[in-house]
Amino acid sequence: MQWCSLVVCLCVCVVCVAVARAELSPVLCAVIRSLIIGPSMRKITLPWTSRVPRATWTREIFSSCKSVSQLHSRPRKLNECYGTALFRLCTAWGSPPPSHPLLYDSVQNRYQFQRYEHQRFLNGEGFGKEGRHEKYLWHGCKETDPELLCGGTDGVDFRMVLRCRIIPLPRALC
Amino acid sequence: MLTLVCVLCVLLLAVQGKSTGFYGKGAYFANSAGYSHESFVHTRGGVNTLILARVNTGKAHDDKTEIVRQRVKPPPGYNSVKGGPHKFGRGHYATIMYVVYDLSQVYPAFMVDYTINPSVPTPA
Repeated sequence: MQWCSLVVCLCVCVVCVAVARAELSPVLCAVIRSLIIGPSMRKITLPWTSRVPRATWTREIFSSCKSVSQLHSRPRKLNECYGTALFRLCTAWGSPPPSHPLLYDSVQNRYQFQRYEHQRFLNGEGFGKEGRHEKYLWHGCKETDPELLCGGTDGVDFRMVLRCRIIPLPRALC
Repeated sequence: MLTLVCVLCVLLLAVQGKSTGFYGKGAYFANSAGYSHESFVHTRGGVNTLILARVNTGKAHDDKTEIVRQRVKPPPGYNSVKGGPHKFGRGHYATIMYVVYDLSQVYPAFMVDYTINPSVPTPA
């Protein structure tokens, strides 16, 4: 009986060492890891290993809507989903707004959203309620296509980081 | 002589090349759409586009009008930097600026396309 328990212990040790060194096949490693660690780890690691999904945006045309009051007369659900941007644009310019909003896109970029929410959560952990504070603010990207910023994984640009300028040399040096 | 010219070119580029914003190397956001329109709006085919972003400003350090161009991250104990009010050049719209130094603190929520109505005067 003692021999049996010793053999079992040895087998367990060998398996553990093999898993640690990843000498077994990946499938067997995954099975053993799931047995040892449990299924909850898989739920955590799966989103990180999955492919980054493509961003989409929902386009809504407001060419017929020329004022904030007209916007509020639209259905409630539409206002809640898409009305924020137009309302903020009109109120930010003052009254009457000197602009005609044509359309705006609600961006659904899962990668950037998860990253943003995670960072917000971390700031909340570090700084309390104040760390989670957020604002809707405007950003202009003169030289970059906004669709690239909203659809990519990098996010907004760090502008004015380094701008090179070539200066013509004096003729005497040439 | 050619080597000397090359070295001088590199030196001139290195010296003249640096141009950072008022509050250093970060992403700049305005409270007013007017400021963003006057300064850095993206225009294509006569249609202007601005991004309305959700910014996790967190605890913002108020710089007011102090200029710190060397900054690459917020001061210790803060998540972002707040400055202003600023106007862009001879612009009409003064605004409070927020600067974040970490891209993960920003989510571009909306892209707004619009045109300017020339019949409505801008504020004095």
